[in-house]
Amino acid sequence: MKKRTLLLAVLAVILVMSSSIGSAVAYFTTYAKARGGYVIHLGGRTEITEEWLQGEKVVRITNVPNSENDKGKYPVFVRARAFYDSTLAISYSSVPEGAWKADGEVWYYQTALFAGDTSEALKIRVVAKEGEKFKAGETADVVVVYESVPAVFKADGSPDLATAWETGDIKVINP
Amino acid sequence: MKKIRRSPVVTGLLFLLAVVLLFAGGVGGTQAALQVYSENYYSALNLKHIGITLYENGTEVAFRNYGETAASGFTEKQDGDLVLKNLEDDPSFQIGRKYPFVITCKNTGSIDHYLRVTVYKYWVKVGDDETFGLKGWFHGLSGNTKKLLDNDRYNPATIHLGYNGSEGYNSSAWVRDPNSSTDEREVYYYIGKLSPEGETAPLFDTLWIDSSVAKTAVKETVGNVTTYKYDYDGYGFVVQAETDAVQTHSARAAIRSAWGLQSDAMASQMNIPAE
Repeated sequence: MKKRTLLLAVLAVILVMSSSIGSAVAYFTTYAKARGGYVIHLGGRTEITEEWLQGEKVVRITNVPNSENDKGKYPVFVRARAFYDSTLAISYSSVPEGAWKADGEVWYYQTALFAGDTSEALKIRVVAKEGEKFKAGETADVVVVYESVPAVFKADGSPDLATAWETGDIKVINP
Repeated sequence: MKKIRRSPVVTGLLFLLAVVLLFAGGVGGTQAALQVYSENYYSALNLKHIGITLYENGTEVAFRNYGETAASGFTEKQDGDLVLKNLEDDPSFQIGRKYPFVITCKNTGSIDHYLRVTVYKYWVKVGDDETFGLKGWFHGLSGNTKKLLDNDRYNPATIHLGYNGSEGYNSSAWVRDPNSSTDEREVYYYIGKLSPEGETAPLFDTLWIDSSVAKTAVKETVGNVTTYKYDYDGYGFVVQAETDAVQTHSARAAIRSAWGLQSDAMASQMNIPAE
């Protein structure tokens, strides 16, 4: 009899405690995820090639890949300018026409050079200034300076030379 | 007592009647057996299931659909290639160019649901020894990658997502949760419920990288030679998208439980009825 009373008491306690247990609720849920990315390549290695042909300096610039795997990466824009003696006069021409365009004394190549690409020719003709004459055996110094910057593009994928060549806006940071 | 005389005719008739009755009883029993049958009753239990599929540019990139024949109770494709799959034929990503990046979701279950999309953006270093579970999916790379935690230097804000020509999202169909957003993460809720086979309006449609990444450099001077090393050179940008769906029944309680979304105001913007 005593045992039965004890069992009933335990049962009563369990029932009272169970009333405080919250109900477990499950909901229909699901999920899906995906990810991806792309590596940016900046600062290609460029080299200039100069030929001297019939009084003209023919300049071409190559974006040299470091390896076969780099080909097609590291797009850059290039520009060139000739510096010369004051007794000389210079005329430029782009071959084909429009591949290079001038802004003052600086000539800008109009498309991006990817690693492995070589630009079209920029021809620089050296002539004596009006009233000056070349003397036999005299040499003329013409130095071509060129620069490159990482290429950036407009929304439609066309070259954005203006943004790329904006001066003074390279943000230098401490490593 | 008078004895009844039995006529042979009567006896024959009675015998014949007995035979007829006997046969009739047998025929009746046979007919009864033919008429007794039990009708077939069919019971159908229509099990509901939930499913969601994520699309990029119309291509299925990830899904989880319950209630199908898989032993696990669901079929799924997770961690699919999301970004710029179409660029695999193009070796050089063009900084500044806007690439198509149309993100949509489809209800591939059998019940209505509400859904959200969480987008993560960040930069990673490639080839580091440490891995963050990213190996194997990065386009064109077999090495490991390491997530860059310095968001000031490698800024997630340089990874732009846009809609209809400008930065942002499709606010006519989605609502952004500012309280859940960080530098790297944005959370968007779809407005209204999505029916089975229904597809959302695009969340984004374009992706591009800010041109400022081509203008950030580390200056190094050795002797008389000064060089600039572009800071993002060799680093990769990552975009990750996750979509979550939840039932429409008791939806507010469900999204509180499943998503932790406590905001009634946000639920109202999603057109979820009050409880």
